[in-house]
Amino acid sequence: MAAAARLKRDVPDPGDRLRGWIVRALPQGRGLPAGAWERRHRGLLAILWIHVAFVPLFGITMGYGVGHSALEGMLLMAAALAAHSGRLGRRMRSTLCSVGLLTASGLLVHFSGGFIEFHFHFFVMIALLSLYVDWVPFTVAVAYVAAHHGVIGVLDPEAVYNHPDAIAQPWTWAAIHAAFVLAAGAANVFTWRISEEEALRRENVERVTEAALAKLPLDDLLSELLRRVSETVGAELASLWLTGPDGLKLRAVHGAEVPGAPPCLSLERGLHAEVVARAEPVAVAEVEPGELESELHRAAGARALAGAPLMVEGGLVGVLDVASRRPRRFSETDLGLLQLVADRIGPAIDRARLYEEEHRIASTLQRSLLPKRLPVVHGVDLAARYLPAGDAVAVGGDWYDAIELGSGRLAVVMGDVAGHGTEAASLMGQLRTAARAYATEGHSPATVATRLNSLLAGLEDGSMATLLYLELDVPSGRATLVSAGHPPPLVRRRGGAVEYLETKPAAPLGARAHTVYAEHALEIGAGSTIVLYTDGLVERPGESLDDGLDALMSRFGSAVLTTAEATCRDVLGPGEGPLRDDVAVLVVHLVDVPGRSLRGEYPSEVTAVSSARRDLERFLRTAGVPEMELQDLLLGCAEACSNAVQHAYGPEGGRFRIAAEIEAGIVRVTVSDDGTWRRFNEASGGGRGLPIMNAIVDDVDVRRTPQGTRVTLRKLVGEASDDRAA
Amino acid sequence: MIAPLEVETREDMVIVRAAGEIDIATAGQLRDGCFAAVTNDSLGLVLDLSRVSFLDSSGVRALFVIAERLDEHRQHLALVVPDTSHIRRVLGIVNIEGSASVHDTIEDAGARLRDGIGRGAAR
Repeated sequence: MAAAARLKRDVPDPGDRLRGWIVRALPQGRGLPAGAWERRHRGLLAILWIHVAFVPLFGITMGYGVGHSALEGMLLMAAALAAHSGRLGRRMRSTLCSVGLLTASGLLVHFSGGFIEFHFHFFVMIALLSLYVDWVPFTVAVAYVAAHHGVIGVLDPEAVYNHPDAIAQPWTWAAIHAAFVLAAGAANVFTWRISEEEALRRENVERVTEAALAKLPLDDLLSELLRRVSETVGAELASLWLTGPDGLKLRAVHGAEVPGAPPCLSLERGLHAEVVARAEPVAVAEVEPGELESELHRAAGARALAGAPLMVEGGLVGVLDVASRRPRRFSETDLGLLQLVADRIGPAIDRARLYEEEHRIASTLQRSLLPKRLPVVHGVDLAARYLPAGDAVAVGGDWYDAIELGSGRLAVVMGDVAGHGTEAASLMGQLRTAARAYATEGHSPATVATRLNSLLAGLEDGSMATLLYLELDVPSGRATLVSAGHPPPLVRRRGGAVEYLETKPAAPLGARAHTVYAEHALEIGAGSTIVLYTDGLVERPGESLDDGLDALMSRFGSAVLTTAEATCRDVLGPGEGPLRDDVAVLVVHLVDVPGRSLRGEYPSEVTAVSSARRDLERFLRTAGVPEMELQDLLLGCAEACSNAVQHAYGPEGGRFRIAAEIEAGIVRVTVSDDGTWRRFNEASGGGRGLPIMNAIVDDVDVRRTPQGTRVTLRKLVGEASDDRAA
Repeated sequence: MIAPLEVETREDMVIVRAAGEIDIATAGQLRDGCFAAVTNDSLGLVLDLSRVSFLDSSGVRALFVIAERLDEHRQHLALVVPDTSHIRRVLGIVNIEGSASVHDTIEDAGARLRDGIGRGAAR
């Protein structure tokens, strides 16, 4: 493996190790945020200015000349002024202020005549200087003290020291002073380091708990959190695994590319298995590439790993890990941080799962409440489509139905319950059932709408729904339409003219206790196609409703009308991303020449079989038989016709006949001849015709008499075949 | 009823594309056309039925005969039939899988021929 080969075993030399230890023990001097530095610098400068005023006064009090005292004061003032200058860098200004303050200490010692008590001033200043949290001013200050004591101590011992030993051996005592200053420095450094660590920890925690992250979409949140955790812990790779049926499955990764399907990880052994088993953070400081369970980690050359469980309500939902390409020990702090991030991701993942679940439930419920199949009505080709919204909260409430009323009459229904989710879907189911019940009881369209309105208003939960109810007398092409606040249906007449039907809509169902629903009589006419739809089809993002209606009209106008199913597809147009709202479409095509039965006679020749088949196809299509069932019937008919051609007559030939009719959802096709049945010659490889017929239609009846053979095929089609399945 | 067969001879296989309706009147053309197309040195025949709109028991019989003949020469018949086609249903009823393999695409069918070397036809 290429990535693993790149890895060399990493043996640090002892010198490096010591250096590393010292570097880790010392504060990093990461500096202060600009605002904090500004405040601290101002405070320290104020202290320096107090010294500018006070030190010369002290000199005069101690009997030094005004000129001498003033000159020393000017020195401090120069340092203070320079430290104010905005033109100098931050570090330079810190250093100038530090030097100024320590000079003040030196001067106080000098004016006091080397009194021990005035040396305490140094220690106060050292402590103050550590406020800068910066190595440069600090080091300069300590060096300055040592140099000052040494040099001035030699030149004028009594200005620095006030006891005979020191005056006699100024360098020894300078060293003693410098040692104490260094010790004070070390003590301060230690405090500084501790507070820096604390600050870093707090900062890291803040980085991963930042509230603003919660607003990100889940994928962005995950990639941001993985990036931050890998940076703060100092590991190159971070990955998130979720529990699934086959162990763990990768959900997100930082620091590696994963092309193709997300990899899975078995839980038989390895760090992830341990995290899952113990449900607590686990770290491995050094692991050989060959011991890694995960392909992802092997490819990335991971040598040290740490993982933490994702817990939601006491249950484990996944594992978050970080990996480093060099062996290293993950500290308790690292593990704590990792767990913190895992605890943050867990609920987010859980929410996303709930959300997907909600979407699935709402759309499944919605679909289960819509008709599985539409009825087969002679002279009408029907097709419908329902597309759920991409967003869980937007699913549900659209419905359609087609109800056979007998005597060539058909009711088509399109509705939309206001609101979304499982509640809207279940209310839709109730309305659909109620509409079906009222319609089959023989009520007029207006009565159906009025009753639905009373029903919905009576529920007293403020629910509303729009409704379009169209009753169609198929043989005459006359229709009656009622609209309860629903968008108008679209019709394309036989000549190709497209228009929205005028509906004069009344209030939506449930809006008022008593609404009068008026019926509109229309002439639809054979050869016309009507499209019923819900507003999701015409309300598209960034478009006005009028634009949406115009676009639908032009899609419908330019569609090549073949079958209702194809028209459905054309009207829906190309899908562009997830839908914002549900869409339901129902297409009703009034077939041109509605004949109620088929009769045909053909010469007993092999080429006639396809003619018979074609005639049957036209008849079945006209009757609106669904595609799969139509194909089955054509095949069954072809087998029966082929048998008649092959077996009925001798070389002199004869004729065969087909007849077909549809009644109560059953298609009956009869193929008959006047010949005598000759047995199959099994050796010729035949004999598959009858098994095929038996497999694709519901009943095959073969009657052979000396006068001829009659094969009758029966098949339930459309809605009727579903009723049987149920 | 049946359009002329399109024959493409590749290095190791022959691809025949059929279109139209295969029934009692046209099955013989398909059978004879396939026999003529298959070369002796090919692994077998990829028969693309994607554009065939109808297939009855006569067509099924022709497919069995073609498969049988190829098998005698240690060659294989791979059929290409889209998943949604009604023909899939017919082939399922007659259990064609015992004699020929059925695939979604020509590429899949070709891969089956190459993988099948040494294993003989799927019988």
